[in-house]
Amino acid sequence: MTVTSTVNHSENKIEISVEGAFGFNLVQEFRTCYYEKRDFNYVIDFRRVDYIDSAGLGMLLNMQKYLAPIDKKIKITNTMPQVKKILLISRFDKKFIIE
Amino acid sequence: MDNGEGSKSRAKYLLVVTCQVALLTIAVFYATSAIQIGLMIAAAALPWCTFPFRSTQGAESQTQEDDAHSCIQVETLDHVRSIYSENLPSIHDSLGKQRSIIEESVETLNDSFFGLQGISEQQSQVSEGLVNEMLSNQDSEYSLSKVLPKTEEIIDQFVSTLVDISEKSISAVHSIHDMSDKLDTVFSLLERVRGLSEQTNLLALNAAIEAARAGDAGRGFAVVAQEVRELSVKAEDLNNQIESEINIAQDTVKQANATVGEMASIDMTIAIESKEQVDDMLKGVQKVNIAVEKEVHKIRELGAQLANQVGNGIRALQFADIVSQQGEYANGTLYLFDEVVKLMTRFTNKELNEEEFSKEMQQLLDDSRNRGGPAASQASIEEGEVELF
Repeated sequence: MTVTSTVNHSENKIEISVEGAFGFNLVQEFRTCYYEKRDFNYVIDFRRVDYIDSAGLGMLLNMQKYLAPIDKKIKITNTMPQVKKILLISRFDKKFIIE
Repeated sequence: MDNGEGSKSRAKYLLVVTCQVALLTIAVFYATSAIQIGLMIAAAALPWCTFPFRSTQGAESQTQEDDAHSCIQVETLDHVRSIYSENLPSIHDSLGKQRSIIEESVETLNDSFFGLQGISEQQSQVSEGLVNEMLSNQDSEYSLSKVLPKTEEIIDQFVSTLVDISEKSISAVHSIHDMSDKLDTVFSLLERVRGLSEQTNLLALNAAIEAARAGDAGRGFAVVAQEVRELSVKAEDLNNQIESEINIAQDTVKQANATVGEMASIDMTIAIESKEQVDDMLKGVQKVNIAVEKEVHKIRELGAQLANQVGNGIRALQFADIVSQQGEYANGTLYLFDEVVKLMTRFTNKELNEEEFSKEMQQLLDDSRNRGGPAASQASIEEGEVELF
């Protein structure tokens, strides 16, 4: 599994950890991590993501849209420089908390 | 005794005159300017202006004792007069030619210097225009300060369109997955229908067996059982058909999924690279602009230097003024000699007696002594501040 999610019920938090290239091949796996789990805070750990394409960006945006009613920003942590560059160039810093 | 001394001194004078004339001719030959010639002749002639005066004084005291003495004096005077009258016109001529050549050249030089000045002013204006209008004009549509944010905006738009497409595509993919899941549900439902029809088939088989055991009484029931069995077989067929159709639908959905996935997956590094490339290019353009501006500034500075040099040239052209004033003075000096020649002519033609001649000569000498020096006495242009005319 290149996408793993850990549910922390006490903190009402789901941490999604991704490995490798974040793109279309992970679309279903990634979706199941948040699908029908609206009432959580989300942290996405990108420490092992070395590549992201526009499909990955689309997946993140779909997640944000799906969870939007919660009105809580999703955290993206531990981004590598090349990944962070793409996130910033796509103005993701306005929709997500990038750390 | 007196006669012997007189002839001796006359011979001495003749020798001196010959030497002086010879030296003067050599000096004239080597002279480089008309002023020099004039001054040399003046220097040589001055003693001679006083000589006849003194000799007439001497003659007066001797009271025409010696006819031969005055005869030789007249002869000498005639020689001097001839030398002067033969050489003076050529000096006049040289001075005149020099003056006209100088005037002509100065006019040409003046014209070309003023032309140069005009051109250098135009050059300065052109470089000024270049700097002000093309390079540092912030209002221009193509100025870097406007092109830079505009380019960034275009790239941003491109990126946001890309992301937008990806978002929609992924959303479509999610819908496709949902549909695919539903198709799977339909499959499991069909499986259950298949189970039902198999059970029905079995039930009909059992009914047929029971009908056969009942004998004639069960004959009608056997027909019904057969019909039911056939129905279950037909249901099975239908079930298979639906299954294969749904399989096709499932394949189609998978294809759509792949296509949309391809659409959504665009390498974002292209966007980053293009942004960086544009940044690099604009930086390069800016560098070139700065370099061009620097060079144009240099051209402007050179133009100022050129104007300065042209000014110097024009100022230096005033040498003509000085030279022509000096020439004029030399010419004036020559007219003094002309007068001397005229007096000598009149004296040798006996139009004047010795007393009159001596008086006139004295007058000329006074005139000569009362003459001032040349107006512009500078020896070089650099010697003093010269005002621009």
